[in-house]
Amino acid sequence: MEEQDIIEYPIEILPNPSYKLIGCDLTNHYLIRYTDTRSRSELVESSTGFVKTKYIGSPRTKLIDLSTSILGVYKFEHTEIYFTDESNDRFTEYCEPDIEPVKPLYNEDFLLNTNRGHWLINIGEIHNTSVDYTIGEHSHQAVCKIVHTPTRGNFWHFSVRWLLEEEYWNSLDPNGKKGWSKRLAHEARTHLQKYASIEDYDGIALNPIHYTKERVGD
Amino acid sequence: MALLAKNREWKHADDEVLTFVGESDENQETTYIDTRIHYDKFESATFEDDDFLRSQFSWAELKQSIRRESRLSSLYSRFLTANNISDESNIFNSVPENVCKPEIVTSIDLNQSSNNKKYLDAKQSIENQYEEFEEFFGELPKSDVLSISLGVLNKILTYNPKVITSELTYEKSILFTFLIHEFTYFLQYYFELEYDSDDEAILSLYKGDDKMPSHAGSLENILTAITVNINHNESSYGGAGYYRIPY
Repeated sequence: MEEQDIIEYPIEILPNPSYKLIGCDLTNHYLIRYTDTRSRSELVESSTGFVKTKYIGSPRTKLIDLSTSILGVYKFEHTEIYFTDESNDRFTEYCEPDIEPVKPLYNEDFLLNTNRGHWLINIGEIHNTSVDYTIGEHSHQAVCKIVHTPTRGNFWHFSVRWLLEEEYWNSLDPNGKKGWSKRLAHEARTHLQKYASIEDYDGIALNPIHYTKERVGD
Repeated sequence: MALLAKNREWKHADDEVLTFVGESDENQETTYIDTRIHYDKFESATFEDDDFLRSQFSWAELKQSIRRESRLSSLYSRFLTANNISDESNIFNSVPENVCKPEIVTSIDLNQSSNNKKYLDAKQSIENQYEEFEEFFGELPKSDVLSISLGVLNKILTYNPKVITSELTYEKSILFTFLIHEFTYFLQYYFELEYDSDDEAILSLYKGDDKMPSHAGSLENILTAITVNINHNESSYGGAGYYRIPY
């Protein structure tokens, strides 16, 4: 039997009992989302420079609650990690930020896809910005919200969500079946497309005070 | 019939067909004269429309026309003569065959030439994408997707966008992204209708990085919104630019 390389899961991206939810101003920070290809010509429409629609979030159900990670401790290479079918639900489940982490095992729980690429978006460009869409004859607004949503496999997981009046899109129409969801999906996708880029930026690591609990006596 | 020929299109639609459009204002109405020139790859070319003419051209002659757009004037002249039409504005600056004259290139020529390339690029792009999206398009055949998409594209090209891209989507639609001055337009056109309407499209619009109000409705409504936006902003660019109300 051939000896197989053992790849360790990066524990720095797992939840930690000393961590807390991130709620500080993230204006100058970047979100990263993986793509199935790293080919620049495939990812981007060369004439406009926009990341192609299908890599932003398709089909529309993905846009309702789009998964991303915040760059910093989470690095570009971490986007290569994907969970096996057997372990995917377990490690992509939302969780409290301070749970005792369970380290995923290579081959059993996760694998690497080195062909993956990514796009980035500046949080300051989209957080709290709004788009308009119609329901019947009436115009409505949806506000983009960047929400820290740690998962069991990634503390740095953030969701791009859309607040409609007082409820989030993912609560009102989680499957995107309603007619207005089609129009909102167009707005949400093109809004992200306008600001997304595949140019690499050095993610500024968050100051630990923004994600670690104060220790007793500090 | 007097041809004003304010505009004409020369579309190298694919490897087999050239489309040639003239314009008249008979009875104050715009009429489009559209004759398709079929040619096979090596031998000859034929005007398609029985009502106008069926003239044979050698492949060499047509190839010259393709290479130099002004050479189309000779085809155009034959077309006018055969149909007893006068071209009062003579915008084609007819060049007698076999006589080499300097080409007069106008801004319209440049726009048209640029649009031809955009049209061809988009057509190729849509064809290439179709295989990937075929399963999402259900019973909608490639030919329908292509003809509908190119119909919308042609209308957008009348605005002479600086650049334009087309992407099929998983939602039985096509997204055109195009830039005109500092505006970015995202126009999504749906092949499948939810309501009892002729068609359905959505337009989102950005001025630089600023989001502008969106529009949803029929394609005609969307094109009107684009025209209004261009007209509204035209004075900022030092007068009337080249655009026209889409047909």
